[in-house]
Amino acid sequence: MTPRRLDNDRSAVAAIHRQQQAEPSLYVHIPFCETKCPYCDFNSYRVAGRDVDGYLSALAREMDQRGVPRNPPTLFLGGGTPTVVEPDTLARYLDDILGRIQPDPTREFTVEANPGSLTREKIAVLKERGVTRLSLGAQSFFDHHLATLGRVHAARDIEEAYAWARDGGIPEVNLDFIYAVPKMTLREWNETLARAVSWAPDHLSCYALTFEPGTEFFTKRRAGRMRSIDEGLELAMFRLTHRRLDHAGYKRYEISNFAPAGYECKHNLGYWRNRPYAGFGAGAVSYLDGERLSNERGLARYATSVGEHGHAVVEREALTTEDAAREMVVLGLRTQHGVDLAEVDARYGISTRALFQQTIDKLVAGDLITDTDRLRLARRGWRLADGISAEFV
Amino acid sequence: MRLSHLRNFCIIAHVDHGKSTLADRLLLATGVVTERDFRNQVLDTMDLERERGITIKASAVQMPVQDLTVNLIDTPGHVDFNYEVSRALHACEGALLLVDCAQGVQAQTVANAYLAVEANLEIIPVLNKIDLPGARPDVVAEELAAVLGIDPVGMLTVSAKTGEGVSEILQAIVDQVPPPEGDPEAPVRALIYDATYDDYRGVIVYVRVLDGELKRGMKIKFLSSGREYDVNEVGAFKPLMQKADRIEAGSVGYVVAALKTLDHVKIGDTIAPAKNETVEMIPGFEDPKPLVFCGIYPSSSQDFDELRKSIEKLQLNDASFTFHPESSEALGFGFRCGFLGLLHMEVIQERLEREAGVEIIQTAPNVTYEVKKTNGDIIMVERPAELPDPAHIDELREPTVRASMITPPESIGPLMTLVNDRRGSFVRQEYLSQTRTILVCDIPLAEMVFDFYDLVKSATRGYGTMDYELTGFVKADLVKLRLLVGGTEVDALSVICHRSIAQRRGREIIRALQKTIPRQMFEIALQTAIGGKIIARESIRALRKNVTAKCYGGDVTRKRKLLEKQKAGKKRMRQVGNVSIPQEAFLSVLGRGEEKKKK
Ligand SMILES: Nc1nc2c(ncn2[C@@H]2O[C@H](COP(=O)(O)OP(=O)(O)O)[C@@H](O)[C@H]2O)c(=O)[nH]1
Ligand SMILES: C[S@@+](CC[C@H](N)C(=O)[O-])C[C@H]1O[C@@H](n2cnc3c(N)ncnc32)[C@H](O)[C@@H]1O
Ligand code: SF4
Ligand SMILES: [Mg+2]
Repeated sequence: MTPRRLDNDRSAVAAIHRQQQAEPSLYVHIPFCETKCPYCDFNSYRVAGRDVDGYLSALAREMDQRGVPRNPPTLFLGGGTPTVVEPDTLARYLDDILGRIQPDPTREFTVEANPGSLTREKIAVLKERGVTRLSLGAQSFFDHHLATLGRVHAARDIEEAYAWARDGGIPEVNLDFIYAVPKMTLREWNETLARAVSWAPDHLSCYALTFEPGTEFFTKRRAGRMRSIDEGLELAMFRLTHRRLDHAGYKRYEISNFAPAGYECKHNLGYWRNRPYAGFGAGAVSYLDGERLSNERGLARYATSVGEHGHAVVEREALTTEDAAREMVVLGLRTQHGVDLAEVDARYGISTRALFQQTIDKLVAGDLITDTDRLRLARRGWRLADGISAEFV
Repeated sequence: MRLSHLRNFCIIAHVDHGKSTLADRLLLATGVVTERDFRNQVLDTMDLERERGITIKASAVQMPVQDLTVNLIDTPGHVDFNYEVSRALHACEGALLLVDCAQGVQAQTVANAYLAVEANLEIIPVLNKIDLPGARPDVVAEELAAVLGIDPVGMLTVSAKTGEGVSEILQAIVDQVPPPEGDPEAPVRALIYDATYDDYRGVIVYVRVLDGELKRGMKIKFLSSGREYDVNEVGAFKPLMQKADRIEAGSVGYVVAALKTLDHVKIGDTIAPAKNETVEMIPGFEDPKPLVFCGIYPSSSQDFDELRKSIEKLQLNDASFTFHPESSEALGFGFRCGFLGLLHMEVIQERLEREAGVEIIQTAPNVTYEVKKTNGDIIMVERPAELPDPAHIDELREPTVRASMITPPESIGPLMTLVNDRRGSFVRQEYLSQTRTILVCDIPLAEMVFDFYDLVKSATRGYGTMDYELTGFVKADLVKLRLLVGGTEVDALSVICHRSIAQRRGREIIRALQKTIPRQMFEIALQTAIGGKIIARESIRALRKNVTAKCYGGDVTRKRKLLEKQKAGKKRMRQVGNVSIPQEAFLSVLGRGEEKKKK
């Protein structure tokens, strides 16, 4: 199988990336969950009846054949639910990954987990392997919303899992929440935030529920069997999130991510700063030498492809310098830090000002972005980020 | 000299009263077509084929009746082609005036009957559809008698469907339609009464030869332009095209000359021998001027060329439709198109969309205005942007039509309300029968361009029909209603209208825009103004939230594609300052609410 090449003006971008950028971060994808949540469009599958061992050996082979970065600045184990497997399996593949890179106790090492999938034992395995960050999919503290979301756990389980993680000595714990769930009230969301803050987690991700194409929720809404909440209410929740968390010391450093200074997720920041990463596993994406590579999403095809070719890349997209620059602006704008156009210019050798000045002037005049040392979303701009970004693509 | 072996006639009728069916019946009865052809509706099939470019419209079909040669001449179907209809009528000596005797006399029955009277035709009234249970031949005969001032007794009745009464019609044609008059020995003099364009054969001209004869190889000239052409082929339809040596005096047929476009073929023009100075122009020739205009733009600018090709091609078939390129700051490059009337405009639009396969945006239609400037000059204004500065306008005049509406008497009240509402005035009323009245009114054409037909239909609960003709340009208190989006005037949304309705019209346009312009990142002010004076204003609230919650490494490509889509969607809209205006917005100012559907 020869991967499809989408663009051929990549050599320039590749050269730029090679000479200017550090080692890529490392992402490993574990596509299994206890059940498939009806709103979720991640590449994840119900684990029952799947050939987990087969997948893990394909993963190992892919890492061998393509080669993992020796000293990635961050390591992220995501899914799916990486912790859904038995403790010994978990230990085995963690070792498999760690065995391929240089040990570094200061490296950020995140593992995603579903509260329903955790045990004290699994936490111990994570701790032993040097996991520095656990990202827990709490989603809500209200059982009726958890039920709407089709989650396998109750509010009580979140508390337990969180306590285990803390007791088990995981240095940083993040909680994921979803708001704007059908029938959710502002009061409920306020309570959720208050309670989350009272636990003093190290990081909070708060996502507005998105009806992603291809999900059960999407189909239901289209058929009129489910309604999104009122736009005004969603906006109120979006604002409340910012206000409450800011007040409690969790700064919004990206549209949906909040943390005290120094506790941001470095791995994710790498994405928004247009840094390179190498992704392994079904559906994983890599961004290397200015080229984006996507793996086969289907489990069987992923395994077959790795078996036959040593990799499962099905799509390569080589960005032109201009596209890469546009992306860097769009991604950077998602963050509080914003984007330094001079840096973009220096990296890609183009003039973003020439490209964007008119757009920038218009958006600044509309109070949607600020253009000081860096380009940033203005207060009113956060909630309109997509419309703003669309001006730059 | 009477050419006693010839007869030329046409069938005139309101739409759906059975013209095509009767024509097919006559062809069957005279053996021109077979029973099988008949079942397949010969003439309509040929229409379809013509659309596919296979055969050519039979504008006249020749049939033998007893020992005579009888030509059935087709007339164009609708009100906007009154002039063309009248030319076709001038190619005949008689007309079958066909009326559906379940429906009774309708507006086009009357309009066509008068055109036939003006053309000095022998009119043979025929009551069709007598097989229908609701047929009322007596009442309809009375109505016809009232219209034509003739005796209601002894009118022909027929069922085009079953064939009953058809032989009597043929006999009436032989007995009552006078043979044509003409001089076979004189230099050729022929009337162009129709023309069509065929992809394979080029321009095909339909003629009625008055004197002399038209032969292959002849050199001819068109008198209106003096241009000369070689005749490559002549012939007749039997019912398919059949070449012949000549078209004799008094007869009709087709001519293929070396003409590339219909541009130079003017309906009503006279054909004479090339080197002849004595043949006189046949009276009544006019060069019809378009009365209704609108801008037609491609939905996406890269389709401009495609649209241009399609428009040019359409014009080949319909020279009365005019166009020239124009540009609008809001819509980019497109065409200003002129039409004989409203129906004409609709027909053209439909054909464009169907045949061109490009999506088009059409701006609000407007009529031509006559402007008398303060310096005495008179100019014609085809679009709001061309209106001179008000300081230079002495008088603004708008086209006015005389409309005849045929309606049950109980609908006269609602109809008059409608007419008054549209600045119309009553002219006269005539009773045709207990169930049918003619109401004649003068109405500014501009008041009819939106939805007048529909409203006539609803005011008469579907029973009313209408026909109109231009009476002239009349002074009126007109203003240019400017539309401002975010403070910027959008020329394509501005209109000329009567001062008395400017306020209402302004609010209607704004309301339509509020429904069609999506909310954007900024609040959008919508205003209408006369000169500098704002007469209505509203706004479109700013979009409240538009942000993707999750965006990580694996999503980047997909999210970017979504943003690109958002941007592309925006690109398809027209940018006016900060505001993106979708194409539906331009269309929405067209209507006054309801869907348009006219017949
Ligand atoms: N019952 C009945 N229907 C007829 C008769 N003549 C025509 N029609 C129907 O009336 C409709 C319109 O006829 P058509 O010939 O297309 O009308 P045109 O628009 O005048 O050409 C068609 O559905 C015909 O089948 C008739 O004598 N009796
Ligand atoms: C891979 S999951 C995290 C770990 C684990 N699979 C779980 O769900 O508990 C990533 C997070 O994305 C968020 N998410 C997934 N689908 C979403 C959607 N349609 N709308 C909003 N947030 C969503 C959830 O908060 C979820 O925790
Ligand atoms: S557990 Fe997480 S990854 Fe799995 S289906 Fe649910 S939201 Fe998606
Ligand atoms: Mg017909």
